Amino acid sequence: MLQVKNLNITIAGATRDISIVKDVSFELDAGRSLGVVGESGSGKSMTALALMGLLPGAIRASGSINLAGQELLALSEQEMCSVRGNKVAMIFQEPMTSLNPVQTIGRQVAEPLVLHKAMTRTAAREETIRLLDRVGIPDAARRLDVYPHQLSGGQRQRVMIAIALSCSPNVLVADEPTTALDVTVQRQILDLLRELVSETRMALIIISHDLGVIGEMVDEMLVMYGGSVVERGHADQVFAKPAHPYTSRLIEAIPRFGMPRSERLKTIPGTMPEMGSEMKACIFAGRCDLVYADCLEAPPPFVSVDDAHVAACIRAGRVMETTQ
Amino acid sequence: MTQPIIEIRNLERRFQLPRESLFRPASTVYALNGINLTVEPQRSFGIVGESGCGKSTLARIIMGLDKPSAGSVKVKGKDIIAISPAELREMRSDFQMVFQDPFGSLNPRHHVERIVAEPLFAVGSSASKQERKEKVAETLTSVGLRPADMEKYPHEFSGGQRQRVAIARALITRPSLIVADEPVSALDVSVQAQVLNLLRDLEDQFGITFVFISHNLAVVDYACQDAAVIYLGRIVEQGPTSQLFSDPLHPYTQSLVDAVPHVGVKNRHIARQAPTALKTQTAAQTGCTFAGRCGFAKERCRVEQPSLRVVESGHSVACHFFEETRSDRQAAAKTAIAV
Repeated sequence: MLQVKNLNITIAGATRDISIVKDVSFELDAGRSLGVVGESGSGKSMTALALMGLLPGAIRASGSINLAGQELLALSEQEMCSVRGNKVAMIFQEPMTSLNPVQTIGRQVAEPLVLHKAMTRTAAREETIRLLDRVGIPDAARRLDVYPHQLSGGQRQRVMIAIALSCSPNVLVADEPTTALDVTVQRQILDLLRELVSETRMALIIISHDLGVIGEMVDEMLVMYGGSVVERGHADQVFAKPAHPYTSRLIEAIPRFGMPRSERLKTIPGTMPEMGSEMKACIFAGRCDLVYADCLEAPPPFVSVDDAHVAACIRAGRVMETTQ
Repeated sequence: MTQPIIEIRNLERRFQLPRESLFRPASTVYALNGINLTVEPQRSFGIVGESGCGKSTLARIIMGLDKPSAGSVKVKGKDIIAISPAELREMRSDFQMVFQDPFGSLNPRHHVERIVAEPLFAVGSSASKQERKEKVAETLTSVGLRPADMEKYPHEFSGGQRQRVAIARALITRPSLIVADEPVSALDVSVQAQVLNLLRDLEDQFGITFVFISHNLAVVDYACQDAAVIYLGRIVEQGPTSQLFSDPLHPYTQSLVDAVPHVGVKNRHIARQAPTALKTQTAAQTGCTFAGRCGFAKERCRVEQPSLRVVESGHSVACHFFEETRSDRQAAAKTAIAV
């Protein structure tokens, strides 16, 4: 249903264009979920904004984003307006800043209904109550007239989800949906998202730096590093047998419950390369402990290690063997 | 017996809310209520809880940045509430703080040398300019930065490096206690691992005790030997991290541990999750503060406030019925394995 092919995102610089997302491709069917994991600066949020057609002015996307036969990158801004919030919806990290503080939540949830579904105000009000009830806002009919500051962080995120769901989108993009929330509230929001996916058959894209959230929520996953996808596959496979050294090191860097005190966390030495640095070698080569001469000669191709599991590493097979 | 590095007794911090009506008295929020805790030297202590539970207020009080409404706080045997500001200032070289946001806590107009050397001025060090420079260089080296970095400005560093600068600033007076308020939560996973390892090295190298405030249970489990779980201004459970997170006794600790997402645990259903959101506690209510969210709450819980009871050496819990929740949990774990 959603096909992204060779998505490239570049910033027009004064002297040259700086590439911030390189050749991202994936497919997603209805009722399935995709996780995009990566650290800050890996290009994961830019990929999400490109899907929504929300890239800031000087940033351009090329390639193809095909949603149910419609090429989103070819649409004009006006045409994109009828898609955004309607067929593709998004929830953001910080529910306080993404809700309008001077409008009641009832009005904000009803807005896409009036805009895209041409509902009357009264019909939209009915539907809003149903939506708020569905996302677990207690006493929804009375809560229509409250303002965002009167709600807790978790409830605000529920309102955001209600807005995103209002037009039954084909794809819901959730950019760090639970990062600002406490663990128990995070658990409730994740459970809600999972229920909604199985109920409405929408496709879900979750972007997160939290490997736990990704590992628990999604069917397929992409691991991004420095603007490129370095590994792609079924989430269970990727976590059980990571084939890219970056994925493998990233998983090892998370503290686990009950680690013996004598054990040190494994770290990845160095830092992510600068945005737009020339790709003459493997992008991870500078921080990789398995680096060989041929890693420095050309960017590695995707190596298939299992059914639908690929990694951009010429030693992918060896990396898989060495992880226990 | 060695002297504890922090000793807190019956600590209370109340905040007066603005009046809502002329005819009713203003209500009071209990940010901290009856906190007792002891931090032993060389045993880093974690404080865990959700937003609004009072953990940052506790950190500010330990640092002498806020005054409690009642109770006593002793740092290395000295009551930091009773002593004069001048004495507190003198003691400051012995306890320092690291903040959450390495972007907001470093002055962007100062170079690193000045940022890191600042506590020396604050505690009235008599070191000469040359000595100061040497000290900054030495401290930067011990946090894994280069001495040459002292001429740079904060914007020239990555998030992890900035947090190292913040740690260097805390370290320069050679304190024996560092209070770290969410020191790694703004950092990426791979950088977080580097900073956690650094904190552990500093513990070993300089004998520093950390008070580590975090909402991330796995991080506290890794970084600390002891921890306390705070709910609405009260300690509900405390003990060695090895016991606290493998065998949580309080229903609230259990729901926190269960709520942490794990790789590969898909579509699980947790029966005992805390249903409603955290509310601030206004009046000194009767009964257990957690009763409204607790799946085990009984009549007694709504009437009688449970006090902290010692279960095993060093592990205590404030719950009337912890034996029941514990056996339920063990039974549930057994059936989960059998399935």
